[in-house]
Amino acid sequence: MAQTIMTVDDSPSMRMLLRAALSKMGYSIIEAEDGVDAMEKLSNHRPDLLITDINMPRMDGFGLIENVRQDDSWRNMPILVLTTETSDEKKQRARMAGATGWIVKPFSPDKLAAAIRRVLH
Amino acid sequence: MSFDEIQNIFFQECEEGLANMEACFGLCREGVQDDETINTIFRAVHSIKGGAGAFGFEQLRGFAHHYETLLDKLRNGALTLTSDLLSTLMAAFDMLSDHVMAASGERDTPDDSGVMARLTAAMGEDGGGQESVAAEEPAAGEETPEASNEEVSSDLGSDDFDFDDLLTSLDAPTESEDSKEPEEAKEAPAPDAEAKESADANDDEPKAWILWFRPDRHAFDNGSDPLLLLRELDSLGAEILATDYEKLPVLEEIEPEISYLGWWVRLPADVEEEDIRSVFEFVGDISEVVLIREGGKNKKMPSMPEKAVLKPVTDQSEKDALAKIENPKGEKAAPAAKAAPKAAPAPKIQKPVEAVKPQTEPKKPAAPIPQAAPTKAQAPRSAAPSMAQTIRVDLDKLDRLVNLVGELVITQAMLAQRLTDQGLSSSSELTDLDHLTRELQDSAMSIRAQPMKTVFSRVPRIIRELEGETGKKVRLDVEGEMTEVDKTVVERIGEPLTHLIRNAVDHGLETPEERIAAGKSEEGVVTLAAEHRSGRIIIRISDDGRGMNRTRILEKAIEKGIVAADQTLSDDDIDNLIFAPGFSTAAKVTNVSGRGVGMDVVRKNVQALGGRISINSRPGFGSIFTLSLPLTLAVLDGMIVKVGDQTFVIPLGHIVESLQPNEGEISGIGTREKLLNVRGAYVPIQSIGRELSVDKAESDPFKSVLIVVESDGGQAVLMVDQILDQRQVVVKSLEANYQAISGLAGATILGDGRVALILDVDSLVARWRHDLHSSSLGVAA
Repeated sequence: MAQTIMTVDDSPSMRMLLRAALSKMGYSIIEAEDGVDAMEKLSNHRPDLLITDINMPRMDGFGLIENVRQDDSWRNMPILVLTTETSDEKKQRARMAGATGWIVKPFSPDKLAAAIRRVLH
Repeated sequence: MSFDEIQNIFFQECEEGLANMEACFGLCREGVQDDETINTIFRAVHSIKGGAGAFGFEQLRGFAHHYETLLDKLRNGALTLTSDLLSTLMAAFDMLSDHVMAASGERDTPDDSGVMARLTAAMGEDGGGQESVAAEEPAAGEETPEASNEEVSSDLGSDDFDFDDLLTSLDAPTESEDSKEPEEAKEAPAPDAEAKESADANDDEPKAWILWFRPDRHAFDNGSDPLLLLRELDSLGAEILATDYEKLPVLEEIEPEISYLGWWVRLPADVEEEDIRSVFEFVGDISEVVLIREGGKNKKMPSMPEKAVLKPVTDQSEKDALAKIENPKGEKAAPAAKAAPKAAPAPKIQKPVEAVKPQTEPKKPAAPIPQAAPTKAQAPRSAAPSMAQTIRVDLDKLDRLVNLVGELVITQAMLAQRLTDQGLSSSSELTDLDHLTRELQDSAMSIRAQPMKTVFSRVPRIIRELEGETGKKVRLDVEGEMTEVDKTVVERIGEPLTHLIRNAVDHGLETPEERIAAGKSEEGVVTLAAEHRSGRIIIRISDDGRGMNRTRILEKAIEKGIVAADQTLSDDDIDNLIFAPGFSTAAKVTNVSGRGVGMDVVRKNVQALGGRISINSRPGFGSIFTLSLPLTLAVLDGMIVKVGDQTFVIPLGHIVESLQPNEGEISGIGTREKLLNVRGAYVPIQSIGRELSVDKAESDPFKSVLIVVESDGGQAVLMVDQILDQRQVVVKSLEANYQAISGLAGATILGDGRVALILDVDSLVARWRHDLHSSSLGVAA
């Protein structure tokens, strides 16, 4: 069965870009539009990987990761953060929050595939 | 979904983002400057920047990036929102809108150098002393605030994203295992700079790579797994030379989620260093990673054992250890032997890792996640406007639904008629059905409805531009921006509205000096208000300016030959003269409203939407322009009339009055044409029966009903046999179902199942006037 990736981004076009690239790689996709939506969807879905934007209304990416990591059953789910920043501070902060890795926007499908390969069995 | 489609959605998001920003700036101007308002503005710019990068709009991205940097300083308290800063932010907002339009091809790329300089200056003023704060900010790492636009673009360009690349990749099978990503290596932290110098310079042939890798103890945290990295090394041709078991405790002390091992790995000489380093992109700075060429030196490289030596483990000690785990309170303590698999010198890569791979797979089924606990990230409720939540549906699907509901309404009406005919009209089920149908119709229509906000949000910018052009001070008050109206109406009302706003500022408001002289406040007020009233939307554009200058309007109208010099006109009549074709009162053609498009075009556009426009003005106190528009174009308020054996619908928007003429009110011209005296004005009478060749139509005006209508070409009188009813009808397109017919706007199905044609009053009157002129009857318009 195809592995499932949940993408969390408040921008529909960004979600569609991810969907286009990820479905080409053979993953199933669940989409959420912000942290709160993602938390709700995580109660019914069990994605193998979470890819989340940082800047979102209601609950941002850091808030989402912290919430997800608090739940024991999600402690080991890999999480990739989408960031426009290349600075180490932002990456550090993502890791402190509990992210597994990051993808710097804009990303090519190859870059996306490489990041996923590093965190997903 | 094609790339173009995704890109279009990006532009829709930009529109939404810009509208949200506009709303937030409105709040800021009113003094609401809480965190969430600023955050909302920041997020909008951030999203636009992200999308612009993804779609390759470098100019837009560069500007958005600069803008975002300033907003970020504001968001983090490094800057305070002064009125100067607000005006810079709003100038940048206008520039951002221009850049979005340029990206979508609606205009040329704007020259943003001035605004960029203002942004940079704003960052410099207060931002300089706050370097420590700024250093934490994401953008700080990328560039200094002093960077010019050009530098920003080139800087951003380094992380370039090839649009075609993605297109190709989307179409081609994904290469997942062997793809090289040299770019990532640039970002990968170099854990050990000395490693680079260690290659043996004397040898021409590059030697194989020797890599030391020991993941952090907590490498399994956050969902990471070093095994994946070893697999990636394997795909680069890696061979494990030795495994370091030094830190591996005895079996009973092994924590399944702690990483104990380290590896010496040999990689082929021809593998790029960057490819190796990029493997450790996410963990490089928290793991031990040392890379040298074979034979090279690096003091951080631990010396590799001659062979991967394992301390001998007797079967007995293993058994003891196992026994202890199974029976923790057992008396016999195992000797402190190093428990480890009996590894071969170059073991298969997976094995050693899997020996300690934690049992991290959740054993219980997915437990429901408790409701998200509030976090810092979850903003408290604030005054920030609620953001538009949308679902995108193909318009065709929506129109099909609206159409089907229309059919249902008709069928329901037919059923009601049938039951009434049989004396069953009082049944309560019928009343329920009637209610449900109407509710369903309202819901379906409301899906196509959009808030006026989408149009109103453009107005503040127009006002700002007008302030600059005219030197007048203007305050804009907006009311009822959430009032909803059909999408088509929203799309087509923008232009007339813009014109009326421009007129209000340009003609309506006085200059600050004139206002002070007149005892008014320096700042003029333009109010834009929308509300629902009896099934229509009413939009008011009012100003507190000088009001209509009726003397000037009348002079102008006489000068232009629109009215006769001796004609007696009421104030209302004079005000309405501005709608006459070719009328323009501006003493000189200004840049603002004298653009050759007169109020006649405004009225025509409003009428094309089935709307009406009226003026209410008081000299010295200002003017109010009121637009009354239907909520939807799919349903029409109509008067059902009978002509001969046919039934027609006259759109109510055109109807001024209906009457039965008295003796002496009708005069004849020639043999066929007749004029009705409507309070002193002679209006031509047009027989619908004759015009549309209807059998058995009444030809005697005194036995008919005369309906005075307002059209593009002025007033006219339609002669019909009888008025049957006034009600809403569902408009069916003639073009879609049959073919376009001149003089008819569409058709509808009445309750009794008969088709009634909807008259196109404008074209009927125009056609008739044309006939009159061509037959040289000489009747003035």
